[in-house]
Amino acid sequence: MTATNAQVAALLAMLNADLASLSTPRSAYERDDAPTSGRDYVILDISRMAGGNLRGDVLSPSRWRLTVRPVGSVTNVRALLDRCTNALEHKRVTVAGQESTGISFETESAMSESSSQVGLWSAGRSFTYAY
Amino acid sequence: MRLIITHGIGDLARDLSKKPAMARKGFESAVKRNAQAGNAKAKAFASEQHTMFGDEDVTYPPSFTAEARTGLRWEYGPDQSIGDGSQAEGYEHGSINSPPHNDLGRSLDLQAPLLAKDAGDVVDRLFW
Repeated sequence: MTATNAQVAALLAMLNADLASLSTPRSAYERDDAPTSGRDYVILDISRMAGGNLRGDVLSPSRWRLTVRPVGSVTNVRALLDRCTNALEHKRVTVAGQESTGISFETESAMSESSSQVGLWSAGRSFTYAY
Repeated sequence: MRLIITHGIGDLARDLSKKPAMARKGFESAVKRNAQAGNAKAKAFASEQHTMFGDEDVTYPPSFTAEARTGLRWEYGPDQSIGDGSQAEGYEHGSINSPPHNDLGRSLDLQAPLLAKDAGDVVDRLFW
């Protein structure tokens, strides 16, 4: 089975390679590494989807759903969503030599303001892929 | 005794003329059945995290409803006018503080293939 942590590491590397090239470099984080103050960053979550057969230690096909959630001002959230899409959509996640299908867009949520921090907006955009 | 059954082109025409109405009825019932089953799954996923034993937003799962928009279009999910249904945005897609729960997304993962199969079965049944 393709290790979940390794998938996240590969996805973060893809995102960070792109976000670091901005004139003001930005970063994508695991949820628990994300800054507690500060803004203009991206949080990444992934989870396994239904389906797939586990034979030995190989799970095939295994489907995964990833969500990126940029946090910041409204315009920056939109810009970061665009960057994330360019960095991920139709790209493949390669873990230990195994290549995924192309990452495809699934859905996204409307942008909303954090209920705990005024002026901090975010929106989720989710994608799916499979091994 | 010998029984001879003769079918003419008129019989075929008569049989085929009933198919559109049969198909519509079959598709409507397939969509209804799958929307209600999808809603039950999503509600069950939501219930895992919002139990009656003291968790917050305990009235989130009961806000999941399924209703017809038209015969062939159904909608299911949290109703924002019921209980904590208005919290759906933060639960389904996550928020700054919480990962996405994907209750609806996961119900679709399971239900969508069943709807496709049911739709195929409706067509199969038309000719048997």
